[in-house]
Amino acid sequence: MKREARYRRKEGIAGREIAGESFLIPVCGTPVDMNDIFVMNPLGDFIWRRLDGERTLDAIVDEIIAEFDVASEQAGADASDFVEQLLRNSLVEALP
Amino acid sequence: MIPGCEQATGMDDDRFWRDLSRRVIDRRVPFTGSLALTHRCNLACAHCYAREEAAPSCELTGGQWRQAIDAVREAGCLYLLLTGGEPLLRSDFPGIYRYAKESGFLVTVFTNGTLANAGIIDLFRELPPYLVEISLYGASAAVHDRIAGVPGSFQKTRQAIEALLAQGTRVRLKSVLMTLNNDDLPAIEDLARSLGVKFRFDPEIFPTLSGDNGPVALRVPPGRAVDLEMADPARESEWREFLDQFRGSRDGDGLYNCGSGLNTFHVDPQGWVYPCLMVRNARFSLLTSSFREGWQQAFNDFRKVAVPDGLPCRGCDKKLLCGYCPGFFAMENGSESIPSAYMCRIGHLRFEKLYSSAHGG
Repeated sequence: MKREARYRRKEGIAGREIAGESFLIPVCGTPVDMNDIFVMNPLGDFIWRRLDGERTLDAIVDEIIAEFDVASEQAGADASDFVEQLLRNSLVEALP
Repeated sequence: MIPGCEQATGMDDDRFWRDLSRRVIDRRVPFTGSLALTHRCNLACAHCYAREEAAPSCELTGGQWRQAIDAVREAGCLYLLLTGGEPLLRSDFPGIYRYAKESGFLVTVFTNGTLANAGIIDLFRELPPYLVEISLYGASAAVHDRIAGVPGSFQKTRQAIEALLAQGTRVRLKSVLMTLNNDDLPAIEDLARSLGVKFRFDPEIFPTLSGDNGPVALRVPPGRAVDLEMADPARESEWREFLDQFRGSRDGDGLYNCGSGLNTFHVDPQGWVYPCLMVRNARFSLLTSSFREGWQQAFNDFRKVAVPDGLPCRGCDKKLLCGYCPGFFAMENGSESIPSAYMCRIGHLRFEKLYSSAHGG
C-alpha cells in the first residue's frame, strides 16, 4: 500500500449513523444483503470521512496521530489495513 | 493502541447483530418504518383496509416526503417500506424512491405490480430495492381479477413479477387468505414455487381504516386457515421453530409487547405518524411537529400502558401463535382490551396442530 497515494470513496455508497454505529451501505449494483453492509469503528469512520481523493494516505495518518493517542507506526499500519479492506470490498478507488 | 482493524466488517456477525438489536430497543431507535405514500389505488380489492380515497391534494408532496425521509434517517431508521394504497400510482414515486435509496435505507416496496412499467423496472435495476413484495390473490386471472376488481390485473402483475425476476430484483409474493381464494391457495403456492420466489399468506382480514366492517365477512373459518397453513411441512416447521424459540419468554407488563412505537413507526399519506399501521390511538403530525420530538413525546405514554386487568391474553401460552395485537383488537372490536375471537381461535388451532403433530397425533 503506497502511503503517498490518494484514495476516494466510491459513489453509490451511503454512510449512516445508527444507534452509535457507523455503516456503509451500497446503493447501486445488486440487491443488498446484510453481508453487504459494513460497519466501521470510530477510527474507520475517521479515515472514511477523509478519503476524499485530495488527501494522501500519509496525510490521513498524520491526522490520526493528532486525533488519537497512537504511535506513528501503528497508525500507518492500521490505516493501510483499513484502506485495503475498503479496496477489497470496492468501497473506495485508488486515484492514479 | 487502536483496537483491531476490523473497521469494515460484513454484518454476517450474529453477535454484532444481536447487540445492535438490543441497543436499538434500549435507545428506542425507530429502526423500521413504513411510509404510505398514498391510499389511492388503481385496483379495488375486496378485502382492502385502506379504501378511503384521500384526494391527492391531501397527500404529502414529494418534497414533504423527502423531508420526512431526512427526518427518519436522522433518527436512525434503516429499514424503510414504501407502501400504499398503490405507491406506484404517484407520478413522483421514482423520485421519492431514488431519494430514499440514495439516503442509505434498505428500501422495500409493497405493490400490486400492475403499474411497474419499463421505467420502474429500470429504476429497480439501477437502484435495487431490498425487496419488492407483490400481492397475488389467485393463480389464475379468474380468481385474482375477481378479488382485485379490475380485469387484466392478473396478467399485468404476472408480467411485472417476471420482468423483475429476469433482471435479478429480489421479489416475494404474498396473499390474503379469504373465502374468494382459499381453494386456489395451493395453486398460488405452486406458481410461486415455479417462479422460484418466496410466498406468504395471511388469514387476518380487518375492518377498513374508516371502520367499515365489510371485509371481515371474507374471512375463512379458522380451521380451514390453519389446515392450509400446516399443509406445507416447511411452514409448519417454521411455526414450530418460532414457538420453540420464544416459548416461555417473559410476558411484559405493557399492553404492547411488540416493536410498535418502540422501534417501528408508520406514516400515513397525510403525514400522520403512528406507532405502526395497526395502532391508531397515538399519533403526531409531521406538519406540526418534528419527527424526533413526536417520536419522543407522542409515543412515550403509549408504550407505558399496562395490560388491563381481565385481559384474557395475559399469561396465555398461545399468545405467540395468534398474532396478539391490541391495535388489531381495537380495529375489530373498538377496544384494545377485547381480543379478536377469530385470531384467538386460530392461535389455539395452531397450537393444537403443532402439539399433536409433535406427539404423533
